[in-house]
Amino acid sequence: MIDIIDLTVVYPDGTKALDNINLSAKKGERIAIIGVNGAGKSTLLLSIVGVVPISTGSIGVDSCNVTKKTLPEIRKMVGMVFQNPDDQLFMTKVYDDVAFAPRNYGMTEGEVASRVESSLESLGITHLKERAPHRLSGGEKRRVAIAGVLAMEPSVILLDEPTSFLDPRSRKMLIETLAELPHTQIIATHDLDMVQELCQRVIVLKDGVIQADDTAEIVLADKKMLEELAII
Amino acid sequence: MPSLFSAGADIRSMESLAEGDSVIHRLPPMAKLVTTLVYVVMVVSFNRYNLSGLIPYAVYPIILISLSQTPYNMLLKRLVIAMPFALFGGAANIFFDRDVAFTIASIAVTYGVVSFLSIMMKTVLTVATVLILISTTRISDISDSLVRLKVPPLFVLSLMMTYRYISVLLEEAGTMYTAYSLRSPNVKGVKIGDMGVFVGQLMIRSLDRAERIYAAMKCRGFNSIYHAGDSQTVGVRYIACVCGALLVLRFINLSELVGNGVLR
Repeated sequence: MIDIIDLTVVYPDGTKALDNINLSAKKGERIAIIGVNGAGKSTLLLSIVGVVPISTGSIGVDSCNVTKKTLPEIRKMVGMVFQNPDDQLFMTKVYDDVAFAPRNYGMTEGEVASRVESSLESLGITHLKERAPHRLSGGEKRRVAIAGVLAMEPSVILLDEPTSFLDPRSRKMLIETLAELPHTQIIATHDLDMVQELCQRVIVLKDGVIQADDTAEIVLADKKMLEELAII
Repeated sequence: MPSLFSAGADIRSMESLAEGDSVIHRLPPMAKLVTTLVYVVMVVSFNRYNLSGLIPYAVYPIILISLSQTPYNMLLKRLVIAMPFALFGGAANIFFDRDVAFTIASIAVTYGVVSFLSIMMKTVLTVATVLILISTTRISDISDSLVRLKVPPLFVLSLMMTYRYISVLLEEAGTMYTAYSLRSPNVKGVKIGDMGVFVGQLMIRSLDRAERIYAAMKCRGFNSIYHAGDSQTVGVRYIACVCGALLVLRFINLSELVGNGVLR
């Protein structure tokens, strides 16, 4: 599904954000990426969708390599949910926001409507479709942001800190929703409780380098390593 | 600075009004947009000395206000904001255009006064009608109608995003101001000395946000084109009736006709 080989990302100011990352994700797998702030979690997600350019190495999604030419195709297969829903929801009506991607991909209005309906329905937020996104609660905004990504019918979903800004109830509901989605999910997070509930596999990053890549049980049980890496 | 919060509340109150359910709210957005545009063009097209011709035009916004149940005080509050611009522009006419137009009870009324009143009236009528349009139609519907009227989609998208992110920017400025005021208990507003840093920080935050928004848009296939939704009904009959009436009133001075009839 996703194959990352020897990926290195260097920012224009010379900062090495990711250093020789090797990682592959299978269909339907839920992988957590954990690490302190600045470890490279968000950069890794952004490089998969081509927002951050790759310096060396390669990223493949369903045997399609991430290059400038293939970006529209890659972004159709890989949906990204940003950390702050306000950065993602910019249309003035929920319906239009969820319809944004299908319309950009040139679908007919009938197709757009059916995609919007089904993604809103799968998240239980059909009643919000006429509302203004900026007037929703944090939990509702997050669900609308995910619906906007689901409307592209991607095979992989990348989520950047999905539980941040959420109250306990909204957080719980979101975790339940994510658990029901059949998509491959890569989740960058600090929320270890969520990782335990949701993810089969955990990758630990420090200064852009993978420190551990194992099952959630094994990684989360290694308190010594997590403490050394300042994760707990 | 507390006005930042009230500005945010103002935007929200306008949005709530647009969600209403009256005869005017239920009219097709395209019909409301077209008639408002025609109304504005008609009002502005009057000669600056033709005050009497403008009077019948006041009926249209009054009808809209009563049918849509738009609160008068909300309209007046916003009209007051627009008035100083017209006031300064129009006041100059009083000093430069001193020829006598007519006399009322031996008081000479100059052409300058007439044109001043005409400018004020045009401002009130046009601003009020646009405000009624905004308070009875959702911004997304107005945007879709604009695209159908062949306004460049990129311009419409910029308009929508500006509108959408004004509230986000106000929130950001509000949060910064709260943090600032909590650490400056004896200062009212932001000190002049700190204003540069305050505005600079707000700008940097806005740029950061703009970059994140653009990345999020690209991730969902954005290619600089705004795609409008399903085609809405146009409301041809409403447009024809209102625009017809406006056109008739533009070329027949109803006030003069009524006045002459009464005098006879």
